[in-house]
Amino acid sequence: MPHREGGRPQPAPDPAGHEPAREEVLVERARAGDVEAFTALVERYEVPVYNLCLQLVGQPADAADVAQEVFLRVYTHLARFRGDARFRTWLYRVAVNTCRDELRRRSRRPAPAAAPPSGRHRGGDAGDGGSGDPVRAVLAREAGAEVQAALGRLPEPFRAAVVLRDVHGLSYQEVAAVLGVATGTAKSRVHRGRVLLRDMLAAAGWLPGRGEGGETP
Amino acid sequence: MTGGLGHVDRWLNDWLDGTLSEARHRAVERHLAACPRCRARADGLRGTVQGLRTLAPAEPPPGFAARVRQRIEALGAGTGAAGHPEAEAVPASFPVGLPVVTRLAAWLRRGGWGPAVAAAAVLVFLVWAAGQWLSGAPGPMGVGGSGGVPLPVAGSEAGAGPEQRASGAGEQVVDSMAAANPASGAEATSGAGLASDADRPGSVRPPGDAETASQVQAQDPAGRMLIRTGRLEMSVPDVEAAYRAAEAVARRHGGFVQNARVDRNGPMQEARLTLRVPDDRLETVMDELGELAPGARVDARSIDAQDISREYVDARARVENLRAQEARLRELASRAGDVEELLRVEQELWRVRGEIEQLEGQIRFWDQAVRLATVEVFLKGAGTVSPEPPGTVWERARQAFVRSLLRLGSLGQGTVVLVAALLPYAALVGLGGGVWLWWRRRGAAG
Repeated sequence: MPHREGGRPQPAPDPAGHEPAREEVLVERARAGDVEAFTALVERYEVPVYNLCLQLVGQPADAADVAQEVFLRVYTHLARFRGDARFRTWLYRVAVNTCRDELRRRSRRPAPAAAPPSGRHRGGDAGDGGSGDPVRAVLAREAGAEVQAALGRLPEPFRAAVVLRDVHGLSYQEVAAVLGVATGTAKSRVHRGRVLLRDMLAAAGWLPGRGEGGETP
Repeated sequence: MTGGLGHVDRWLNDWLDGTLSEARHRAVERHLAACPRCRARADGLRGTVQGLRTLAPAEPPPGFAARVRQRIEALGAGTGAAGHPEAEAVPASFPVGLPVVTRLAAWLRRGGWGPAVAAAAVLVFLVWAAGQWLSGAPGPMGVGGSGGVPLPVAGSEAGAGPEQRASGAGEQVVDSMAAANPASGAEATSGAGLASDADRPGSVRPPGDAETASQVQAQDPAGRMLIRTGRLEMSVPDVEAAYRAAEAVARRHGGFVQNARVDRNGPMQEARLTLRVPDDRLETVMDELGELAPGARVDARSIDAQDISREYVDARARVENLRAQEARLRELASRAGDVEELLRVEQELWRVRGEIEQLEGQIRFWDQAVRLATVEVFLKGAGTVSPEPPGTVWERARQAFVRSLLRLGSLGQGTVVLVAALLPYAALVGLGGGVWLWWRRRGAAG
């Protein structure tokens, strides 16, 4: 099965269809100074932006501040958004830059992300094939907090790339655009980050994959 | 078969993303089926990605959107394009240029330096304007003297040419030999030469009465050949101005500056000039030089005359004898019998000719020396000896201010030169540092 992109859950409420058109309308109105429209955009994106900030900055209180800052920057610079990129990509880029500013300001490593309030992990409900795989079943039930913690320990470049790609479901092209790097660079950062994460989780005993063989393919 | 591939670590991510080609994908799957090590790694990677994809999103704090809206409305006008002072990391669009450039732009936009630069500029301008006003104001500051002579650097210390100030303890030599002589001076000189030449033939007369000449006076009516040299030592308030005034005096009387040098040694300044002026104007020139500048004081004045009448007459007589001999030799040469005789005559002819030319050169030199007297002027700075001339507090403060400004100026010049000298190295170091920073930033912030 060569192509498995489709089955991934989309954190951003951005189903295909007439939604992008409505988003463009909202952006246009917000750019004209319509606070209502912009608030609608905020409501649409507050969850992914807040989570992105949380995953990059680490602490919930800081993440809330940074996320607010992100939306303020977006609002004040909407005029500069020329629409030659998707609004979501631009928004993510602003968010990543703001988080980097925050990290630079603090110039210390963020503490590992605390477990989110809704700490329950969405179990093995994402039918990503092979639902009978015991390893993934275990992961799905118990590893959410561990994954969060491991993400917090991941070096920043890889963390941002992995979070954008695998948590927020951006394509490699979008990741590259958000990070302002070439697509190949984005890809290699994602891959390297995944491997680092896997090794961290395996070292913590959550995964096989560091030598000892598993039974199932 | 996949055996040839070895382990498939490098393909695992693409295998997971489903971006491998069909054949490669199948090959990886086959290898995974056969290799427990790679299978474990693949499972781990898949588990990791699965864990990331199924991370439950955290809920933002309640009232998040409302809080954002409050802050937006607090910004004031609802124009989306309002400048937000804190915003700096917002990309204009894609693609945004070099990170260094954007960071620099952000730093510039952050402001704070703007008012400081403006204030500094105003301050510098004020100081400069004060310097201009103080040094440009007429008054005793310019110790001395324009004295009516149209000098470009009359009087003010600030006006002293930059090369003068830069010369420091060095020396400045101005050699303006006859070649650099202004046309007017040359004409006047030749005019005087003609006048002298008019009675020169008469000077080849019996040297008897020339012996009695002892007086040092103007043009000798008896046609005595006198080479006269005047010497003048003066203290002047402003050496530079007096120096130029002396040049002007020489030029006005149809003379020229043969040699001149200005030495500056710390606060002391000296100038030596050798002027050539028509002999009949020597006294006038000396008088005018004595009143060169308002504060000038003549320390020593002398005129020497060297009577060369006898030598001159001797030389003329010898030239005439030699010419006669030359004529005889030529006649001999035309009648020479054999080649050897001819050669001997020719040789003698050459010798005579050389002697004639040597004597004629000497005579020409005497002619000029007699026609143009030499004036040696030694100027020494009187004003610079006492650096604190009496004056009101205001005057002294003004001078001190201008002096400090000048020193600051030369310091600034030195700094500029130093910076220029260091610039290539700095560029190299900056390049290396920039690359290093970029590399580090790329590693830390990607």
